[in-house]
Amino acid sequence: MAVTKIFDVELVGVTKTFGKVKAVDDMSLGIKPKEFMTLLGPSGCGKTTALRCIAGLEKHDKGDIFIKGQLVNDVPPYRRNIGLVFQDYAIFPHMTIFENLAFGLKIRKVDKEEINERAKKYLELVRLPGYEERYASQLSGGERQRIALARSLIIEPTLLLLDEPLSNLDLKLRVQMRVELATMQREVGITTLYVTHDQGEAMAMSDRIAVMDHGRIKQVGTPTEIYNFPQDKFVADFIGEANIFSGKILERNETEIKISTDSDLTLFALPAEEELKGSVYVSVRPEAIKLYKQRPPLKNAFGGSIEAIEYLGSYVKCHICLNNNQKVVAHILYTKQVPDYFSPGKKIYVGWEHEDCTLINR
Amino acid sequence: MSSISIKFLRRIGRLGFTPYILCAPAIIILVFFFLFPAVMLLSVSFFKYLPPGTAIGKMYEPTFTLENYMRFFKSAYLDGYLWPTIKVMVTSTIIALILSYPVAYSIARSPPRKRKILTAITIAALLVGPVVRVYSWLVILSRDGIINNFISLLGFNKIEFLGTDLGVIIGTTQFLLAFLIFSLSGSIQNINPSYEDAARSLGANEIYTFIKITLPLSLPGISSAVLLGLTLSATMFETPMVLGQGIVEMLANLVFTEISFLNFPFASVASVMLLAITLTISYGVNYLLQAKIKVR
Repeated sequence: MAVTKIFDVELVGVTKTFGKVKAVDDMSLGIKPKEFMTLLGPSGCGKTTALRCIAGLEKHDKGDIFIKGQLVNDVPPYRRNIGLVFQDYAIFPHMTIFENLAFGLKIRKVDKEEINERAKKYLELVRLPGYEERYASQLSGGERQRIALARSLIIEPTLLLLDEPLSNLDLKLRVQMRVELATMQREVGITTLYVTHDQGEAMAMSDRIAVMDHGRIKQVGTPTEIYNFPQDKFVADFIGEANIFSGKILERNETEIKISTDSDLTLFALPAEEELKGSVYVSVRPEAIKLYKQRPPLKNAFGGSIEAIEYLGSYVKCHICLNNNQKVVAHILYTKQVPDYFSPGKKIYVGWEHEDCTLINR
Repeated sequence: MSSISIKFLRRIGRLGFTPYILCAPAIIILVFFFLFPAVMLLSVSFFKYLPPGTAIGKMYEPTFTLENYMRFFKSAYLDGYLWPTIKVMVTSTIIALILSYPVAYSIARSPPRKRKILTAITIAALLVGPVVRVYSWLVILSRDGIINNFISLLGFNKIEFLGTDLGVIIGTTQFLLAFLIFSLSGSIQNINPSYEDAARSLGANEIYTFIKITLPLSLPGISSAVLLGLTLSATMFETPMVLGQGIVEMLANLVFTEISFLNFPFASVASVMLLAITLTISYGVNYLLQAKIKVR
């Protein structure tokens, strides 16, 4: 297996089965130095198992894992020098915060003064100075999370693995912590693999995202690539919201592609760079769909009526039934006119540009 | 620990009298069938013994005397009963603890299906009646039993199990195992496995992880398992009777013998001593272990 120097961590065809279930299925992935990589997927997609395989807590059945170019398949977790933050933080409850931080350093035979110094430094990094003598039970969820981070960073690992570290925090703290976490990661400059099911977290924090489903990686790319150019129906559906039409390509020329959907709509898209077969999915983001009172001068324009409206603060989510009974969802910015013009039962037109259609091979 | 009890007390406050009403049946039964007899026992131990034939229909006279205790402490009873009881209690509890911990650990860390099967097997060991159990040991441990036959086959001298401390300790330890495994596996199961994973990811090998993380976190479980082992082994009766062959006897056997002589005051003294050493050792062990438990 070729190992490139570009990657700090490289997985080549890693497979892990539990009984009959393939938790991780032929997974290949490379993480660049100092990169913040996220494994994103629904619960049970194998992302945590993949992380545990990299940490060595789970032994994969097939494939190779390289860390800094070294094959670690048979290296036990305690020799991999990996920092790991758990979903439930796992702060040792019978030790003080200082003892927790010193745990990994004592094993590495770091001398006392250095331990004190580093504990102080890392408590400052996670913005909890002076917490040495406390116990985990005296800390809030957010504080525990930071201590867990400090404990994993203090051993100065080659790689930081985070397993849904924010999922036990309440919404406000979660949003605040994800900014802090990303900042700290950049401050320390450590290669990071983050596991989450929360696409918001993934989008906000990551350099690159690997979207996983059923043990397989569906797409790897920057947050914008993943959002704007999904290469897979699952990715289009899972990341953000999407109206997905299945159809066939009728005609294509230099300016546009004409698609007929199974629900008998004719859609127009820009010519795609990648190779397209006859059958495709067309994904249209709800925020790309605009509502009109009269038929707009667009090729992708259809008549319909509003079925229901959800006010979601800054935007309104409209559930629309087109005249051929195809349902679409549109997000429109909230303005004072919205309630008058767009209320349930109103006849309207929807329309979007060619470029808003993303084509995905079926 | 303390935060749980504080929460519990607060909840009681909110519930008003309901908890007391719910506890009442158990308390009434304990008062009538435990506290009252215990007080009786204590008082009878200070009564004067009347040998049969002294007074018709009377086995003791309700006048205060210390002669029963004097008899217990001044004669061979200390060496013959008290000391063997303590020895059997402490050794078999320690051995049972060491043997049952790994079993309990593997049960606790098994997947749910396997855990159920292993737990069922453990319970099955408890279903064997005490008499069957102790006579089975007789077959295994006797001079011509399975073990000694095997030993002499290998050319070694036969070991005397029956009528020795060793035999009684083996029987008692086996009796304790199922209880301790059961009690320990429950508490080990409550230890979040991610503590162990965290320790390993921080560089601790299996042994270090066990000593620094698993063992300290299972101290509450160990403490209750030890208490269980001590109290169960203190009241061993049929095991020393059959395996001890009348040579090694414990306090429960003394109680039985004295009652068969209708010497109720002296049987009471033996019972009080049994209660006293059980409480003392249990309290001491609990005190030592609780001091080590730092989890709040």
